Amino acid sequence: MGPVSAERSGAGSSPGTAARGDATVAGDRPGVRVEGLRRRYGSTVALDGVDLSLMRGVTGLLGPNGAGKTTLLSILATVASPDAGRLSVLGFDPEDSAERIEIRRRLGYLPQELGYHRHFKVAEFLDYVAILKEIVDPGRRRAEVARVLAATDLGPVAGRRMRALSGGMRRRVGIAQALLGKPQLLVLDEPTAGLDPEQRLRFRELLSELPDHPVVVLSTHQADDVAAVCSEVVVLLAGRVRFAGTPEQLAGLAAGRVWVAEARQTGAEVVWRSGDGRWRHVGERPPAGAELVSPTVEDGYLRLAGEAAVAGSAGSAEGSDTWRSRRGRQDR
Amino acid sequence: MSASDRQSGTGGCGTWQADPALLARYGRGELHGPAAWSIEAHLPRCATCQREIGSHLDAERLGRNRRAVLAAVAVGPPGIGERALVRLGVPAHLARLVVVTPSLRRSWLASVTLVLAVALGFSYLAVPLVGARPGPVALGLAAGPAMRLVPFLVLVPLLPLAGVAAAFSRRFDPTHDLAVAAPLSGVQVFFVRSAAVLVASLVPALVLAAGLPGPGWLPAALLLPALAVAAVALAASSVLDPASAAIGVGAAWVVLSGALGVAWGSPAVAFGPGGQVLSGAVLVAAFGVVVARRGRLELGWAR
Repeated sequence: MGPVSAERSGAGSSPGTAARGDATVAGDRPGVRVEGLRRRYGSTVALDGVDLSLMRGVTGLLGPNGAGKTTLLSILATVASPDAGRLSVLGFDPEDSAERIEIRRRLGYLPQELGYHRHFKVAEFLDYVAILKEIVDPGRRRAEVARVLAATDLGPVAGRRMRALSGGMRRRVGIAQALLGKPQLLVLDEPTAGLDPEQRLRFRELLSELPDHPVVVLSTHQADDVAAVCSEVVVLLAGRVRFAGTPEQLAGLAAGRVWVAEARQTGAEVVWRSGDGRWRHVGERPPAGAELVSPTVEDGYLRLAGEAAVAGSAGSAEGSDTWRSRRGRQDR
Repeated sequence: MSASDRQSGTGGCGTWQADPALLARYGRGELHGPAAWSIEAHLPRCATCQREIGSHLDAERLGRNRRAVLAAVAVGPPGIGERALVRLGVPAHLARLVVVTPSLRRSWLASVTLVLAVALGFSYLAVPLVGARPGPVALGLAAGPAMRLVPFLVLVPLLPLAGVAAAFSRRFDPTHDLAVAAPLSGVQVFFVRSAAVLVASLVPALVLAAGLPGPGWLPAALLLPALAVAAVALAASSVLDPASAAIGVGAAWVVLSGALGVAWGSPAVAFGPGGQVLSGAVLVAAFGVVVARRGRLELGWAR
């Protein structure tokens, strides 16, 4: 894939530092530093030498299904261990059991699949997670549960059974439990999956209102979420970091390579029909006289991941970006 | 009412009103103890003071308190099991963790009891699997009748292991990943859940064992080997994940008890005097390993 090799040289073997540079975080130290992280599941390579630095603020993790996003996040959350590589989280080494506990004391984690006991009510579930987070004083626990209920607008359903909630509502409960204890590191695996547009908007507000500017890393299939809330974005493809930089830099990868037309044209990596009925193309060589348009984060991501997004999303139609890619392929 | 109450004769409650300074402090949440209690006793009966305190209230603090009260109501009171644990001296937060242990569900406990009941029935109804054989016979039973005890005797140490495996298994605990990522996922939760599972498994086992044919002290003889097997599984959990440790130790128990039974001519030999001594030694050694490696008793990460 042509574009990838071009951007890979820009990202380098340590793309986090290469794309951002230390100057952007002058006087600050990375909240998370990852070097040479590898993880296999049997014969499947989930992470293949990931190097990354995450600063305070919101970092979005983009990539097709199977790119290694969930594995990376579960390692950052100390739920899984790497086979090789070095990791520093909030200045602590998770290899050391005592320091691992210190990380967990400062962590808010939303797994991809939020599990809950069937009999739990929303407030009971949050109360349970608060205990796991060592908020043992009942008064403080109630206040903390109340705080996150209010922050996620879940007060009216606090007494309802978890199993009776819609998928989007349960996702909000997942976000609420991650916020318990005012964590310094928030690891959110697809937090906006299942949220309606209004709820996604509220989620963005919530992230922007977080006190003390924690390190937030979230995976998503929604490129517009990244554009809206993330100060940094990392693209993970086949277990490797292929881009790390700002959303603007990611969008910039597609500058001069996105055009629209009344009819589908050849020569594009990815093609789809947008809401206005016109065909949007992302490709290396726009035809002569093509109507070039400003690229979005999604265009940059698709230009980078077009092939992998199509391959990795087989069997899933949830991610709008990858779904569009596949449809583009089918259309051609 | 405090000494600083003022007498007015015009208040909504009759002849006196609370000191405005006290009311202001109460409204700001700065008043505690008897003075605060006095204000609280007075306010519901005095319309004047109710009006006056409105100007001292912090709306944000009130909102926080209201939300906390609503959250407390939504969480609800603890259940019977949780209350019983607290009465027994278990800290309230640990009691709440115990009652959601997957292998403490009614369905699980009912299954345990049913399995043991079937094994107990087997002890009475089944035809002996083998005839009487020469050689030492434990527990004062002839070898043939003792064979009918095999299912029950083998099961008793296995059930706590199955409970421990379920208590820490992703398959049975839907909150497994959340628990792993939380600071309380270490040795504290490990011991609390394991102890709860042990008690919940062994109590019905020992109660039903009272109905076994054989000497009256048989139920007591089951306890030490069962505890020893559980302790070995806990010690092994400092190396393996808890479910794998339980499965491995369970398999080893079946093989070992079977081999001992064949070698000594009685399946119950593991519960005889020699078995008790051996179980005691294993229990002490395994406990030593657990204490020495307690830092490794943790869910997740380096497994």
